[in-house]
This record gives sequence, C-alpha cells and structure tokens, in this order.
Amino acid sequence: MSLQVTAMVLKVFFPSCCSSADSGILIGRWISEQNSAVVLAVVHFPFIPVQVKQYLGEVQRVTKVSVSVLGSWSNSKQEKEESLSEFLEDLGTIFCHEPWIQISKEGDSKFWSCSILQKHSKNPQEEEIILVYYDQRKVMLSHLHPPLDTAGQRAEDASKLSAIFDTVARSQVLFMTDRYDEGPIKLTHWQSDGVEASIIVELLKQASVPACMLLTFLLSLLSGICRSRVLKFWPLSFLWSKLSTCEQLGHRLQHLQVISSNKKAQNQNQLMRKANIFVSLLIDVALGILLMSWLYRKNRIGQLADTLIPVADHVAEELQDLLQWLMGAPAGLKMNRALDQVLGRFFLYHIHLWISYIHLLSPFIEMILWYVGLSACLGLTVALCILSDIVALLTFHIYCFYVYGARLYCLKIYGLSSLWRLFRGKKWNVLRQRVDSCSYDLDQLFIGTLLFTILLFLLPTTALYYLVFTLLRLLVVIVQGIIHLVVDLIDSLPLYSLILRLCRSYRLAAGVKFRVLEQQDGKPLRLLMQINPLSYGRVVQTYRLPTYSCYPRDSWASLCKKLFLGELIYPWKHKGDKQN
Amino acid sequence: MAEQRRFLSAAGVPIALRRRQHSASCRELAVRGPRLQLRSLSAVTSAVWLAAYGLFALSENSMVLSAAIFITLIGLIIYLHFVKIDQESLLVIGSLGIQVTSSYASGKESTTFIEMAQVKDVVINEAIHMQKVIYYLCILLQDPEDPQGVSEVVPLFQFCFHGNNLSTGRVDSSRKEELQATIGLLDRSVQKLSRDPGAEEDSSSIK
Repeated sequence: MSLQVTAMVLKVFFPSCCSSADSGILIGRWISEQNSAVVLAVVHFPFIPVQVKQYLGEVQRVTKVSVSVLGSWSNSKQEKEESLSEFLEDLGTIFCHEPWIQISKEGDSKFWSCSILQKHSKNPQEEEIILVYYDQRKVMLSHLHPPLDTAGQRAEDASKLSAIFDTVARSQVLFMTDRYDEGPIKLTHWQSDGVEASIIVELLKQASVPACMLLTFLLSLLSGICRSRVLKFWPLSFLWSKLSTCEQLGHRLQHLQVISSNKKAQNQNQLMRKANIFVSLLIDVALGILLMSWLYRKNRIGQLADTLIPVADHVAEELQDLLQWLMGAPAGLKMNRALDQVLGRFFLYHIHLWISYIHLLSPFIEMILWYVGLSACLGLTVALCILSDIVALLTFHIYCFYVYGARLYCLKIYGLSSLWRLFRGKKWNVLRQRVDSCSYDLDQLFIGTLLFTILLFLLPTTALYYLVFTLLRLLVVIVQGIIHLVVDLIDSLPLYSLILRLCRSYRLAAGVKFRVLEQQDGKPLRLLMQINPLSYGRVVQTYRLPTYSCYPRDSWASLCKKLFLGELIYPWKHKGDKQN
Repeated sequence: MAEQRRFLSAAGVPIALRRRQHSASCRELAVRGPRLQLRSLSAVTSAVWLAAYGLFALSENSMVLSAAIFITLIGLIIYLHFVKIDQESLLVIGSLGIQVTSSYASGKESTTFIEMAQVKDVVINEAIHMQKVIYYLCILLQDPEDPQGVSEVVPLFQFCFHGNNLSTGRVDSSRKEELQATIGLLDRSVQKLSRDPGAEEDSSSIK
C-alpha cells in the first residue's frame, strides 16, 4: 500500500538559477525508482534535435550520468500562446521520454504550473507533483556525510538524497561550458564567474611539485638515518623511546611525508586529511616561531636560566624540610623510630647528591637552554615536548623517591598477603594458580607469625613515605599530562575542516532541510531544499587526526588499585594516564 | 487549512498543537510549548542577586556583585539558546521524508531530515523515567545492514511533552531484542505513517 502511495508523487528537483531562463527543454536525469527528476540545465530555442541528442550522448560518455531530455520549459512574459503549448507537446514525440514533464511560468508569477504527459499511461489518475528548488552550486560542491566508502556502485542503492547529490556532482563537466561560448546549443545552468587566476597561485602551483620532490628526498634520507643500525643499540634506543620530544619529531616527520608524497588523494577524506595536517603544521610552526621571537628578545633565556636553578634548589630544600618532618613525629603519628631514621637518612643523602649534581650543571644551563630554544622553530609542539622532558629531568629525584617508596611498600604488601595465608593454614599453589590448604610445621607457623607481626607493625612507616612521595609524583605527572594534552590538541585538531565549516558551511553537509514555500491552490507544492551543515562536534569527530600517544587508558579504578598495591604507574611514556 | 487545538502536556503545562495541510502529501504538525514566563525569570534573577548581595554584605567585595550580573546574563543566554525550546514541528512530505525541527527561544533552529527509505516505523514507545512510566512518539530507523533491525530511535516532541531531554539513542545489539519485544507488544498501536496519518493525533491525546 505504501508503495502505491509513493508512486503517486512525482518530484522535480529544479535548480533555482534556471528560474529566469528563456523557454526551452529541460535536460537532466530521471531516477525511476524514486519517481523523481533532477533537472540539470535548460536548452534554449532554437535548436536542432539531432545536435541536442549528440551533445547529450557526449555528456553521458564523459560524466557517466544518464542525462536525457526530461520535458519542456516555457517562460512566457505575456499570456500563454496556444500555438506554443501545442509545439511543446509535440516536442515530446521527438524526444521520447516517459513521463514528459511540462513546466510553464507565466509572467513574474512565483507559482508555476506543471503537468505530466504519459502516453502509455496505465493509471489515468492525476499524479501529484512536488517542485523542489535547489542551489546547483552548493549541492555540487557539498560533501554529504557520512561519506560513502565506494562511491561508484553504492550511490545507486544508498539513500535517495545521495543519489541526487551524486548526480549533480558528477555532471560538473556540464557546467564547465561558458555562457559566452558560441556552441550549437545554448544552455542555462549554474555559471561560475570564471576561474580566478592569480600569478602567485600559478607560480606556487608550479613550484610545489619540485619542492615536494625535494622534501620527499630529504625526508627519505632522514628516515633512513633514523632507521640505521647505529641508533638501535640499547642505551640509545631506550633513551629515544623515553623522550617525548623524539616521539613528537617522529610524528611530525610522518606528517611531512604524508604531505609531500606526490600520490594524488583518492577521495575526499584523504584530501581533507592532507589539508588538515598541512594547516595544523603551519599553525604549529607559526606559533613556535612566535614563541622563539619572544624568547630571544631582551635576553629572556638568561633570565629563565637564572630562575631555573634557584627553583630547583628551592624544591630540594623543601624536600629536605619534608623529610626532616617525616623523621620526627609527622602529624602526631608515632612511627617506628629506627626504620624512620634509616629511610629518612637514605632519602636525605639522595637529595644531597641531587643538589651537588644541579650545582655541577648550573654553569652550562644557559647555553643548553639557548640551543634547545632554537628547536622551537620546528613547532610549538616540539618546544612543549622539550619543556615536558626538562620537567621530567629536573624532578628526577622525586621519581627516584617514588620508585624506592613504591618498591618497599609493594614488597611489604606482598609479604603480608602471603603470610596472612600462612596464618590461615593456606598457601599459593604456583602450578595450579590457586590457593590450596597446606599443613605447616610448628616452626614454620611460629616464624611466619613473627614475621607477619613485624611487617604489620612496620607497615605504617613505609606507607607514610610511600603516600607522600606518590602525591609528589602525581603532581609532576599531572603537570606533564597537561602539557601533553595541549600538544595532542594542536596535533589532532582538524583546523582546515573547522575553517571550512565556518566560512563555507555548505561544503560539509550532514543532510538537507526543506522549507515549504508559499503556495496556491491547484499549483504544485513548492519546496526549497537547503543544505544542513554538519555540527562542529561532528566535524571534529570525523576529521580528528590520530595522535601517536595511543596508550591504553587506565581506568580510575585500576589506577587506584595500582596505587594501593604499590605497583609502579608507568611514569615516562604513559604520562597522560592520570588525565582522563 | 491550519487548525489549532489546545492540550495539556504530561507535566500539566498547556501546549498548542497546530496542523497545516500544505498539499495532499505534505502536512506540518507543530507543538508550541509554554512561553518563557516573566514571573519565573524575574524570580530566578532576583534570587541570584539577593544571594550575591548577601555574600557582598558578608565579604564586602564588590567583585561578587559584578560576577552575579555576569552569571545571570550568561546563564540567560545559554538557557535561551541551548535549553529553552519554543516550538517543535514535524514536516511530513509524502515519499520524500520526515523533517523534525526544534526552534529555540533565541531563534536558533536545529533540523534533521529523515528520508522515507530510512523510516522503518513510527511507534508509541514507553520508557521508565525517574519514578514514572512515560509514553512518547518515536521514529524507528532502518538498519542498513539488517532489514529486520532498528538502528536508531528518534523521539519526537520530547521537550514539549515531557520537558526533558531523551537524547537520540543508538540501539546496541543487546537492547535490540528488548526493543523489538516492545514493538511486538505495541503492535496494535503501531501505525504506518503513510497509511494512516492519524498517528500523531494519538500521541497528542496522551496526557
């Protein structure tokens, strides 16, 4: 039943730019399964039918769209002449098309009359006609989302709208002919105002090919060096994998390779990806150079170096105070005095070492900063990664404390849990991976219980040290995580798509929307088809660039479990874990 | 051609349903919710400002007052632009599709067009929301891979009926069977839109 209902309505998609065209015939595509006609252009009188047919055959061959004559179009300024209407009906016999659509506009009236001629009509009842106006240029240029994977064969059986969009986009060749061309037939359709040509753009186009080739060559050389065996030895490769700067540089290298490859982008998605990478790279470098120009003016590097060493010193002093506090009675807690002293002294000695290391480094720090600052010209993200690495290096003592504390705490927890099993007369069966009951000797039970008691009473002291240093470590990790979040944001934001959405919102279409235009009784329903732009959230979602830090994110629960059990939270590579 | 009828929504708020028949195959249904009440607006504003004045009297910091003004203004803009929906309309064009438009109080319109080929069915669904069972009209979208399956449920007239946002839900595979069972139960109330356009009337009579 519903099929019958759909068969009754005939839809004519009419380009709004043709509404003032002179009388002629309509050419376009008839989509029979949807019972709709997509008008692409109007051919004016006078014409020779054979030439029109030849022209259509040519267009069909180039565009692979079955373009045909759909009907007639009459735009009479005065009252309708009787002879013309007869002539228009006769045209239907020359260009046999089923059904033959006749649209006529009288004067400046907004309401056109539209009729259908069917010679071999099975159902004589009158069909309802819907006139849908569309903007030819926007529909041609827009890109319907979600994009189809294989545009060729699936466009037919996909949604109706994508078939219409596809038809208009593929007949782009038809619109190339100029208005002033003196061809055998005259057409009205959307006209570009001529291709804008600028010498600079042309020169850039010419220059881009050798530039890309040079870049590709340099990049292949660079990646060849990076892949060479010299850098694969243990200490170096370990270092590369831990420094975020190296990862960021590798990531950018890949980006450059994508841009400079002379393979043509196969589909819209790849094209957008390339453009997005290019714009993000450009903005990154621009921001980096801005940062560099700020840094190297007025000896800011020197000031920075002068403040950096006192800050590191100050942090070490604060840590010493903290340790002194922990060695006493922190917050009124009574700790195991001997263990407390041992741990405190151990950490104090470590800090002492650290301070002497910093003082050894202090004369060179300005020079190091000066050279490191130059790398900002590679982009803001690289500079930020270097900053993150510097933070990691300058807080190395905190990291060490954390590892010592965590290891000690972990040992205690595991010892306690295994002794607790002993306490209950059970043991962990390694072969079967389960807890079995076991009968212990009296000596074993005695020693085990004794050790359990000792470990239990020493636990608060170690737990306190562990807690304090874990909190400090988390602070550093959060700072690094924020830096990496900013880097990820710059790396992955699809700026080109966002700008396109802002300035040419019709280019990224989520679908269409219809507006009902005013109407008159007895005249066909008039609709205006507009393009519904993609929302900004969807744009970011669709075109987000992948980033290199695809670490498996720890959930909050597993993080808390790890913290409680004293397992190491991987501090170097997975810095962003703590950030959601 | 246009007729207007008044109803009470599920929350007891007066709403107006307007029907327009553009042509034989094209009709428009618009539900207009209650307008923004000056009384409630002024009540909220004065409450915020009184609280700010109380804080100001305590802390003697004039920043509090300017912050209150900013908060009220930004809150009002956000409320009008993103929250308050004035009218929701449904444009049904035979053999072309269904267009759902919601216009916000600030004039912003958000539109989605669903093609007829995508529409599997129009049903009245029931859902448990907070402590009550609510009924709502929704469009079931066809799953392109599975001809029997439902890929998405688009609720209609959600703001005007319930004053809350049942966001468009994607159906995962576990919920799909559950949903299909619901559809089977509701088989009597299932009405093909193209066969019987009275489906919307049914939904409007649910109060």
